Amino acid sequence: MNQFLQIIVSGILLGGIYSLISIGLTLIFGIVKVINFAHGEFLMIAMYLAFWSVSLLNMDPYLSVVLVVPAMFVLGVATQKVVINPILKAPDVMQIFATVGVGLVLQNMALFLWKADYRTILTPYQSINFELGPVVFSFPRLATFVLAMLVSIGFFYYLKHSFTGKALRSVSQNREAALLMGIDVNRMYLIAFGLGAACLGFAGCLLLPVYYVFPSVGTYFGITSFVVVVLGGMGNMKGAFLGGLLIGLVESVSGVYVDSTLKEAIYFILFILVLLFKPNGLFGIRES
Amino acid sequence: MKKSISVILAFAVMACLLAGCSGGSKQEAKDVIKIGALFPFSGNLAALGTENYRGLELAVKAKNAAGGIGGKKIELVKADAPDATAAVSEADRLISKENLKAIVGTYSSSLSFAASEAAERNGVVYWEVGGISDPITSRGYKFLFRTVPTASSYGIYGVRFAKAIAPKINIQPKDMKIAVIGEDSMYGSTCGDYAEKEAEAQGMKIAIRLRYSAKTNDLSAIVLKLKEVKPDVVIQTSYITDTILFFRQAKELGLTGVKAYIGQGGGYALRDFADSMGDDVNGIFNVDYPQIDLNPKQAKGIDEFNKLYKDTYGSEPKSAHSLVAYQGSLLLFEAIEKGGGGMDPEAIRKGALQIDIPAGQTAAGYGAKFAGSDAPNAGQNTAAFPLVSQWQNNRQITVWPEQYAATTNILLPQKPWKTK
Amino acid sequence: MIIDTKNHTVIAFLLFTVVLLFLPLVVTNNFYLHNLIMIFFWAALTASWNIIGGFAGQISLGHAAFFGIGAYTSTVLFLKLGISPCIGLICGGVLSTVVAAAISYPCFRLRGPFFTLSTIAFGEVIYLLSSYFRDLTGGAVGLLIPFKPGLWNLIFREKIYYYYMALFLMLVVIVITHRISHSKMGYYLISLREDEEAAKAIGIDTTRYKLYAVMISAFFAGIAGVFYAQYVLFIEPKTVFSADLSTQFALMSIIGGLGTVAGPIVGAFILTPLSEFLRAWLGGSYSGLHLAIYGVILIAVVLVMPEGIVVWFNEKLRMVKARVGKGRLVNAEISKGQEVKP
Repeated sequence: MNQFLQIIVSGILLGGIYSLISIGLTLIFGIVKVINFAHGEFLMIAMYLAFWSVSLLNMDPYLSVVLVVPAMFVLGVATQKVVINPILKAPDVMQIFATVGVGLVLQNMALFLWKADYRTILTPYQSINFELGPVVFSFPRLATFVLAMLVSIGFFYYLKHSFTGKALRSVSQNREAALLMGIDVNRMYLIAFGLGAACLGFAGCLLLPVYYVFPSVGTYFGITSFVVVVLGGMGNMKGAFLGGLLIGLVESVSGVYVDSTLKEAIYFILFILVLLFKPNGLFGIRES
Repeated sequence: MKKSISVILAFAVMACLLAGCSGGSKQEAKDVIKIGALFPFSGNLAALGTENYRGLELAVKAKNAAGGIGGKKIELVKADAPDATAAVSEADRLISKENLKAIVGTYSSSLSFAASEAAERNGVVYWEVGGISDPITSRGYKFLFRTVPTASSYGIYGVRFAKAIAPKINIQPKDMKIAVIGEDSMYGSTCGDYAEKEAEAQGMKIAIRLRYSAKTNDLSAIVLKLKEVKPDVVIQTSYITDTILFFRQAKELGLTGVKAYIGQGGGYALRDFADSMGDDVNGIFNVDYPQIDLNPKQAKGIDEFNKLYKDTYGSEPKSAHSLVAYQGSLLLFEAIEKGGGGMDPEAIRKGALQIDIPAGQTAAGYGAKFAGSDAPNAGQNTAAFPLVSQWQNNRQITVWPEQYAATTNILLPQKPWKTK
Repeated sequence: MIIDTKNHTVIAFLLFTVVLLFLPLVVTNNFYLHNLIMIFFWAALTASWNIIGGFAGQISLGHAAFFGIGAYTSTVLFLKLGISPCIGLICGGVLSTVVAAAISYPCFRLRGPFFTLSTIAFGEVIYLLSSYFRDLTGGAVGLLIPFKPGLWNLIFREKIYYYYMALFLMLVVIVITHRISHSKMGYYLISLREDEEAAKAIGIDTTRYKLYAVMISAFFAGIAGVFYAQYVLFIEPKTVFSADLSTQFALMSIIGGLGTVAGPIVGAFILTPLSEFLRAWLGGSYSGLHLAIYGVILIAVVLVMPEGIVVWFNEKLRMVKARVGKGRLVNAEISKGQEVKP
């Protein structure tokens, strides 16, 4: 029983990490209608930026958010402007490959510039644990979880209440109508892609104390975030949050009770089933 | 129309290829010995591939400084093998285009399989200084030689060492609870399987065997299962990411009571791992290639190697991969010299089989004696074995077997993680 | 697209074939033979991917699964049951086809990037399962094929045999794709790629034709997998089921020209030597740079010539001809070409 509780808690905390990574992807898809196959590589860049802020500027990893998030926003805007905007009307194939190309470039430039070393940071946070009865909570993971929640709530309110947010949503609902209403659609796309990348800025800073960074660290996180986003319903922020938690739970439960080598296979199968039978996502909520 | 264009393009490409052929055949310098260096310089394996290569580079530097081979300078031709297909391509390039008669490689066992096959087919010497998978030398190849110990010996030494420390942690070997965990590729499977076999042979019990994919983002399942079993000793075979992740999650989830963690090379050996652990790394054991902190009396030339590395790269070796590659490459030069100083593969092979160096006379500590091509482990250096080291003061110090130990002080049991 | 008289195509193709058939008389160096083998091998794989990815427009990024199944089928049959890879070749192709049909059928209801995501997931699942069933596949350790040359074992000491095997495979795939592109099925595939709803409305059983396309595609991917296993003599899940491999098939097609017969071939003929060259030139000293260049090329092609090199080249050629020549034939070609120009 105690072990089971711990498994659930670990799963949810892991899920928080997945949620945070996936929110940006779903945001970009919801508005720009492009699946960013370079998502994992953007995360990798964010983690490197956080790493360099910590090791070169001696910043606290959580404080490095103030540098990393704006930098990621700029990277996102630049990618949208240079690569995605010119092919918005092109067939899906082109969009898929443009982002695959961006991923290839980012990953290998990182390898070229920063070498294949595995980099980690040491912080006092890493070994802070809270014990609640038999269950252990680790501070960095709890922080990630709380921040994932705050970021999704923040975005939710931003989209709902701010002017830009409303404009973004109108673009996501109907590109042409928004254009007719005088909304600068291309600018909205830039903002959307920038925000999506900025989310990863948060994720990068929060993941660094828990994980490590190296040029291909993004690959597996990237695939996992696709799973999460599809589970939650493409473009659905709440769904991505819940989907992340679900995948975290599935991973930790199946790791203990089925087989550690099979847990990824299990959530990929879940992913395929959802794609096939509930293409709008598990939670069936369509954000308006 | 389109077809004809494809023909035109095909011809263009072909022309380029052929142009490259004629342009590429440079004037063959008579006073130079050329050797191929096939390692993963890009991709996931690049970090340790490069470290391996550095050992070879230093060996060349040292040998050339000492006058080269029979007065001829040694020159390396680098080739990048990020994956098995590329390994074959590059081996072919070194053999057929560069006309090399000996290739040194490859760090990763799967790359070694692919590349050494291409070399054997062409009758070219393949000198493995990094890959430890047993089957590499089980194929009866004539021109394949491996200077490093095999994966199976890692598993075996891990268990023997656990038995040796049993009295120090006040447990009877037969009552010792050993957990064997590891990633599920060739490396983890081989080490783990042999650890299990050896435990049986030693009358010890394996409490649990766990596998996982090294690509994973989460090892909480492994840690939680260990918490349930409460092992005395954990023997882990892992790459770098899963090693870091395992210990981070072991701390997060409060895995306590393990008296000794025994790694099997891989991630446990790396400075990156130590950096990720801070002071908590102290006390962790590692069965591996000989480390750079060997007892100099048992490792002739180790000090020269350490100095050379520092002078060349401005830092301490990242791992012992460079040391064993250095020592392994020197063995190749010796084989060439013993074979008459030429680059005829048959002569090098004969030279290699004549090498007989007792333990303690090389920089890596172990000796050198290659199994002949009719032996079941053809080409394996039968005098090579792994050593057990311990992280002490953030350095790996060789602690076992005793005659190679650089210190008699073994930290046991593993201290609890620093909580604050 | 410029549709040429049948004779021209046949003559060009025959010329291409004859040149390649006799090329080994000139090229005897193993390294160049190896490069040519890899070019044919990639061309065959890319062209077979193009049947489902290009003609039918269903972008699969999990195609390595079929390649790997082929490689594992023949190797397992050979190592465990002693069945010759000559028979394993067919078994591998057939098993790939069956698996492709089984997993693609449900996925075909997904459109665009969603189909792509499902193929990535299936690719990963098959990769993970192949490592899990250790008893059958040897797990992540992989399988070694002992080097025993002989026709029955389909293992040869000389590269020349592999050269002709790969060449033959490529030529067969070219002929098949050409046949498809000029058949009813080809037109159906193109129409469902352009607008699936419209294709359904005029009575095309789109799922059935997509299924045919993926089965043909997977069959040749499987055969290429067997060839790879016999050539390298070592297979492991990490190599033959790798997601990078799947991306590679698609990449070469798209750079050469998606949905054309010559596109994938041209893509493979340019990119294979290019990547070998970049790796040999940069890989040793600047790790990662060659793949970054690869990525830049991909982005540039997508942005500048989204229809691929073949179509782009045709356009340029026509522009030059239009400027230079005034013959009736050329004009006719121009008017024909404009119909399809985006």
